Amino acid sequence: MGEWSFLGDFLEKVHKHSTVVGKVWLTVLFIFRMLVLGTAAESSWGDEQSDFMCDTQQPGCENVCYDKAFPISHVRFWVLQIIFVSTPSLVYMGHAMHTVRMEEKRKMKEAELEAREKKNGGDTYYQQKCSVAEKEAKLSGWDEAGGQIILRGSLLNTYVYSILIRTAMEVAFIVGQYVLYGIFLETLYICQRAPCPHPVNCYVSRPTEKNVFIVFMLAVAVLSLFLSLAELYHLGWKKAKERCSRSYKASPSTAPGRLESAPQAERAQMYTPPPDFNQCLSSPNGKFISPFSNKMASQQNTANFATERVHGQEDAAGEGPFIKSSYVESPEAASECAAPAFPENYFNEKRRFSKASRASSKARSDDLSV
Amino acid sequence: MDWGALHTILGGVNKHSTSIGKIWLTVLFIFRIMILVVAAERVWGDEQDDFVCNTLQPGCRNVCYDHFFPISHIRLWALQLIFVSTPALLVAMHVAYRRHEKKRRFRNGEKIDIEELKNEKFHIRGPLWWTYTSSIFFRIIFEAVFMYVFYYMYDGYQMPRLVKCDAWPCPNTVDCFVSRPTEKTTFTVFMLAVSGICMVLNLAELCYLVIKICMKESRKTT
Repeated sequence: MGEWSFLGDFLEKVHKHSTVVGKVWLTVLFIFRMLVLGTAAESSWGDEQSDFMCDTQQPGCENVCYDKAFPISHVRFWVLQIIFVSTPSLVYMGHAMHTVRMEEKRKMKEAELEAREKKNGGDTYYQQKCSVAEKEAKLSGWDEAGGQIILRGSLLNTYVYSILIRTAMEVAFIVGQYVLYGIFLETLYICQRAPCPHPVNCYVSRPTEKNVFIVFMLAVAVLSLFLSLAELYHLGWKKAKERCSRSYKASPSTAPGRLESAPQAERAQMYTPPPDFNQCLSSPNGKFISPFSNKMASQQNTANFATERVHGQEDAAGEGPFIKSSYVESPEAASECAAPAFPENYFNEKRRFSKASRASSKARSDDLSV
Repeated sequence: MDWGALHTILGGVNKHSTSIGKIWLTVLFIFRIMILVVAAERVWGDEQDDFVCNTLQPGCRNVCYDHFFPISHIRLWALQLIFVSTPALLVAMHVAYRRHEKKRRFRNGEKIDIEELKNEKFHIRGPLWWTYTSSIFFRIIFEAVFMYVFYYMYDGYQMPRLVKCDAWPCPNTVDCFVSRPTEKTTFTVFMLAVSGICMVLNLAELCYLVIKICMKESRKTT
């Protein structure tokens, strides 16, 4: 099993950033496939060529008959299967690591901007920059409060694609195994190939034991396929539900009614780019950079009021429209691309005092919440 | 072969690589070293025992095997992997040298955090850029050379089923049969494809580094 450690180490990291079904899939991969392959199957197939006997004295006939019967040994086929099936997860992990790194860079940049802004005494440019950065963060699937990676936006897409490709690979290898060998190995193989002078009886070594392992590995492959499909269904169903509920709720709200749109806790888990982006595109007439200078004062008052409330009620999820709309939903609370000033500013306040930032500023990689 | 030691050394270099460099390292370890150890060594394991010649002449089989397989694929791949990994050691040495310099400055009285020094990530700038770029360049050269050596030594990338041998002491032209030719061809093509991918990654990384430095220079001048 030592040789599998290279892949094993990488997959351990993937394990941390997977959903629950993904973790089950990885466990199945490790225990039922890699371990079984490395220990039992290898010794079963160890003497496959030396004990492949043909009823002939013709030199070379056994070699060519073995080559014809087993173009690629089962064990090597399964090794390739495991590697190709694990590869999409590695790509996803690369993306997740990239997201974590980008998030750390963004935090550093914001800290710098904050310091600079304190010197300058505050201006809208910084707030707009924060709004852009916020949008990026939301798109990439980063949740500030929990320090977790939430599957959202491009990260979710990568995850879904990785599962799709994984499923395709599983199917391809199962079908390939069937095409190459059928399901069961026969004891007797009749071979007709030069230099064998005539059709020759060749006898496979340990056919029953090999059949047991073939059936076992096939069953595990089908189980893995089933787990991948279950994960896809789970992700797809949630995504469709979110999209339906969002499209239903987005239609009546066109006014900058952040307070009205607030109590939508489920929006915390959206999977596509936030609605304000789409709304921006759909209504391009001056809603994007509307000068709300006459409303700034009242907004600032509201912000200060909300900030005071938040300091007292940090743990309350969904306790008030301000908390909901500005923290979790700030991209859409920056709704219709209007008045970016309020949510971003507020968000910074919230972030400054969130539990996560107090406890640690490092990314915590736990169970993914979808 | 203890590839774990190589894994430890190259893991250290990984910290100071670009993203493409990290991908290259992953591909190297999973698709090349792991496949070599787990699969390919088994396939080539019985290459001489099951190399059968249609003759009773003692010594003919040995001589024919030696004539057609001067150096086994497995050993060539191991050499290729070692040569291709070696330039990364240059980078590791350069980074170690920089750390050593910093430690020396610390000992001479400058304030430097030891912990931070151990985990510091050096950005690829200045002399390190030259070391890094030349290491990638040598990697590409080594990959290309080994791919050509394979092609030249074995007349292409397909393993023949039957080879005709008339080296002394074989009395006449003798048919010799290679063991598991199809499986060997499969793995040869697989390793060739992965070498190609690694070469493409290295070329991409080289272009990326060159473009980055050009952009930086142009930004400095403007």
